[in-house]
Amino acid sequence: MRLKKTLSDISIIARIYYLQFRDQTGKYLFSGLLIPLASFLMASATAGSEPRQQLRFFTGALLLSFSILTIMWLGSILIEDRFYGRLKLFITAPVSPASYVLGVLFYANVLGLATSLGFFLGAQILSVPIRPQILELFLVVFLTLTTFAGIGVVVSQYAGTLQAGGVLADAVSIILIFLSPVYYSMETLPKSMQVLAAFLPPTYAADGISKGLTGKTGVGEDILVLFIMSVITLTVAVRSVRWKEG
Amino acid sequence: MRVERRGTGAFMNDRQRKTAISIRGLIKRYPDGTVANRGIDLDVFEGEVLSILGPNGAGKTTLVRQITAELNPTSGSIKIKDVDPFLEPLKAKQLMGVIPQEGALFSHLTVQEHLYFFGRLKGLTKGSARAQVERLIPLLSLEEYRKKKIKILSGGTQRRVFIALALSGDPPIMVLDEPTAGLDPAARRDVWDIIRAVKKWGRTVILTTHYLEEAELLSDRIGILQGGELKRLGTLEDLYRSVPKTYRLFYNGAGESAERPSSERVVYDAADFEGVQKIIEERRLTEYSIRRISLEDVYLELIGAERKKNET
Repeated sequence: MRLKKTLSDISIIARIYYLQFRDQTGKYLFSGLLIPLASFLMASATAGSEPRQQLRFFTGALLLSFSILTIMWLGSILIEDRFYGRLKLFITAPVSPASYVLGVLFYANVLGLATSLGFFLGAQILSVPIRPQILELFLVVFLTLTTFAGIGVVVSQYAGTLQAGGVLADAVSIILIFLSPVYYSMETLPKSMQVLAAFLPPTYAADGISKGLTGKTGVGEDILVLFIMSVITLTVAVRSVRWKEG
Repeated sequence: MRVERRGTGAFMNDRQRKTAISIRGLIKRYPDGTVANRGIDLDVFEGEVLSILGPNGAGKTTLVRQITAELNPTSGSIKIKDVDPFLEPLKAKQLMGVIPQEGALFSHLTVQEHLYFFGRLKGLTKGSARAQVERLIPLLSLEEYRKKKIKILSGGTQRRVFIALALSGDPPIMVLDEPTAGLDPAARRDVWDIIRAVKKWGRTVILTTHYLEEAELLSDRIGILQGGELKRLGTLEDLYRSVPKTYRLFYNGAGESAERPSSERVVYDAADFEGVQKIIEERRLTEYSIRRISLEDVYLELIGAERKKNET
């Protein structure tokens, strides 16, 4: 009975956020598709269109899209919900903080997975050489979206003000992608940056997605690390949600 | 803490009534050292409207947020129909419909989407949630707005939607934190009518307000919070009786003494009506007005006395 209520709460919260998305498809097309596409085209134009490079830039564009959608955009929505008082509607309802976080993650996953499909179709048009391993790719994308959305929730809860929250969400979203070896290989980074990158989820997401897109082996390691990172992020996200003050 | 209460009749009745919310020795100390609630004892009875009045910073919202399980108390206990909101917050929230003070609706959702989704979050099945939408929309005169998004609705209509949300799931208790704050007089009266109707449906209502008129018109009992303490609690009559002078005589003091300007209006407070009559006879007044003290007089006297006490 309790599980049924929890699952129902998760799906309703996801639907509430989906309906918000319904009103913002223009913003979605711009930030979730056009900006990442522009990054792909720009990188291809400057660094050449050799298949391996193209695949890396394609993976980078996909991760940039995930980061913009989940940390920057969703994070900002959650920050607004908190500071404008909309979060109070959930807090005062018989809903657990875990259901709220999982509802948000569910929405982020549906949006991200749909976006991925769009990207894979786009890859055909742009002649990016991909041979996707569906299951592995699905797992990497799912865990990446869960981790990113979890980070979005944490950012939204720790922001001191509405304005600071917006800046923080933008900064975290961009920094995560550009500090991780997403658009370039790990070897090109200085040693200290390599150590930092080893703790960043996009490092494993980029590796896992590019392997999943080309049919290479070794995706399991990335899936394992991403799984651990998503569990940690999820736990921190649930604990960070200000459902009750001390 | 001691709550001043005059007359034993109300006490005898209170003992016989069923308690919806029971608060004992509630203390809330914030991490910065501010003590917002100082040992509050309060029973809210089933089917009554209890208003909590108090100046800004008196601890009204802190009290409400502890009742709604949004805030942990430092010590003391709260029971919502025998459910402890700190141990079983979801169960307690199921029993309450809440209008939070700084709450807002989702601007992208329509009125009926709000009612449906939050009905479902209250645990209603799909069918019951849909039926509830059909019941609440006419009840709160929201027919013409049912498919409108919140962002285009006026503040008064949004407040009606909030009340509908608080009623969704049919909770026996309504907790309304300043439900008419920021509304124009007409919208405020609309909300009052709804609160009266909610009481008729047998719900228990606890509301905080800054509007004394609102408390006077809607409440069965009124509590006055000051400095985190519940200074007064009782019916309007109890509160009137709690101040020493309950009648106020106004007359023109022309010629009463050499020091007094002829145009000055004299206000005389008396403990009872006989006292007023005595003054009228003694001073042979022909033009005067008498009025019984209002809640505002009680409130200001209490708040003023407390301020003076704090200053000394």
